[in-house]
Amino acid sequence: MTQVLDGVQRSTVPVKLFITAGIVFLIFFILPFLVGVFQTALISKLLLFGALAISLDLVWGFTGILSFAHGVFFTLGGYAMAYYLKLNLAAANNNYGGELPDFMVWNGLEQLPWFIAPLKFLPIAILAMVLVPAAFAYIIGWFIFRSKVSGVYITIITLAISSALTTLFISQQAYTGGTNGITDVAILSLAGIDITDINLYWVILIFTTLVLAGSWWLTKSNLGLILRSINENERRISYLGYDVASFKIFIWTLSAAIAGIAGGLFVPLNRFISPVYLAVAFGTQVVIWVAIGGRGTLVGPLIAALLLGQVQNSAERVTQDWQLIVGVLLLVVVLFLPKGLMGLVPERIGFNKLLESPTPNPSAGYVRAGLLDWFTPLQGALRSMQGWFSKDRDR
Amino acid sequence: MNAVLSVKDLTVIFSGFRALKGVSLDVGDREIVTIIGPNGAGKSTLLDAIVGKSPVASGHVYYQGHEITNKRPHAIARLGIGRKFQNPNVYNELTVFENILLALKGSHGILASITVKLTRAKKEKIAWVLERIGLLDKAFLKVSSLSHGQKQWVEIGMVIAQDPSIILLDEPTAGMTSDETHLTGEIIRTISKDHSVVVIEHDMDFVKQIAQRIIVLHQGEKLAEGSVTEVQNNSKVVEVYLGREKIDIAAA
Repeated sequence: MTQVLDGVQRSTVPVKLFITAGIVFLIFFILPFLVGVFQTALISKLLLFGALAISLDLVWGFTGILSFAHGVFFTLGGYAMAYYLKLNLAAANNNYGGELPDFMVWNGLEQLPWFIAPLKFLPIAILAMVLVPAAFAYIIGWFIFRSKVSGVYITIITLAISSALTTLFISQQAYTGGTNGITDVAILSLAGIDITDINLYWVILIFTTLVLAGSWWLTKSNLGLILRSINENERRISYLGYDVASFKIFIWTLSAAIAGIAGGLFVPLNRFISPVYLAVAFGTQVVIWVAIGGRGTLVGPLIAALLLGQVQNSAERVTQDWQLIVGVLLLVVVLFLPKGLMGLVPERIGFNKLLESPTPNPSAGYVRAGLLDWFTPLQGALRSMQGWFSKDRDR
Repeated sequence: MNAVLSVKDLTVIFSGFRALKGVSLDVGDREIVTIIGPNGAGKSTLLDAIVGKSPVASGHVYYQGHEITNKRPHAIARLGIGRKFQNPNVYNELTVFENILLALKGSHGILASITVKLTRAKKEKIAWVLERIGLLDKAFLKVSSLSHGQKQWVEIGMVIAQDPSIILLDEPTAGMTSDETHLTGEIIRTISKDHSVVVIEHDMDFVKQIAQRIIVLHQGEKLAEGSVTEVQNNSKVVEVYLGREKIDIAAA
């Protein structure tokens, strides 16, 4: 009787996926040798934005909570790292030759505030980079999800949080550096090795890979199934004995922690952090990466962040109105590709399936999908377009 | 009687409207109790109050002797009360297999959901459930591709998979063909060997197929209680509810 279900063997399925992922990782690993310094820095930044997009995908794509506050979590992690790097600036490099950061001197502070002082030490700064955004998210999440606020109201709250924090950080100039943020920070240096350029790129690459792999592993477990069920009908699943609020708070907090680490790694690369990344505009960009890449696909938002960043970079050289190009792209995706860029990947490759479903359909035979399909993406894309059009007609 | 579920003087008020007015009810071990009554009689409200969906204004709900009145839904579900809703409340974007997997009895914590393995025992349990609802060959289809009747069975399967002591079914045959309805009756008779079952139903043929004890609700109150024949011959029931159906029953 159970033979029918023997097709369900989670462990043996993703061999092909692992090989592909390994090859892609190796290509990215040697990429700095093939492209210039500028591209290395750009791709480092885009990989961090990709990790941020993946963190939002866990919350929005899987669980259905649309958040514009992920820039906030990112920036909170960023400030933690920025304080560390600013406080460790060699006294000689500091404009005023003292221990106190320049913006605090300008604003008349005479002593390092007690809540910033501990960030001089790397372990504490790293802890703060993870825990401050996570704790902030946990508190917000506890109130939002326990009070049964739902749908669009959650999104409005995240918009308000983003606006409120932007205002707060700009107004507290003595502590946050105001509109400029924290600039001219030191180079990150671990055990005597400077983490810059290619070293920093590798650290970021490994981080983003871990985020992608970890999120994939997490969503392949029963947790992924539960999150998707919350997305579809959260009331039903509570009658199956699941405490929906605690699952939402968990994924929300975890997502904020990931965003915080991404923000923390962004500072040694960017060499400054400012309230620009707290603002709604940046939060919206994260949402756009996920929407264009494909909700609930994890790898889609990462690809979208990488591609859009390159599009922006190229477009910026031609015109200042690069946002127009991104806007048109968003329209095209929303109108014609409801599943985002990942919707273009033919189902037979099963990439979508592997990411989506912990119990893949054994009859789909994607495990034995012809190698040929891997090299004819156009053919595949056409096929999926056909499928999409015919599906649309059925409706 | 040693009741699995015991409802005492239950009153539910919706913004001034008394949807239930002091209803009492006992459900014994492995017993099928069928609740009938016209629209608005409070049948679904009674189930809602039991599972913690509607707040109880006064009265008590006891499950195996413990009071569960106004507890949170997931806590009540974990104790061992399974509920099937009136419209199929299933996960269309998941496969039949995944729907049942979600419902399986076990730890429902976050950590457990991450670390839990799909063991042989679980697969066997899921196959066992799927066989009971007759959907074993459709295990890996998305629920959205199933017929309305099959979706109803998926939800019955989810409730069975929870392995509750008591199963509450709200109009399990709504929208089914007569063949499907009959099959559903057989499913319910099978599951009553292991669980107590409370069924809300309109279809009198179906009620006769499964019923052991019938409770008639009318305007939030219990009108009558007894076997099929007793209820059929109760003059109050005939007056307010059966009326037209009485002829059907006599003809059947």
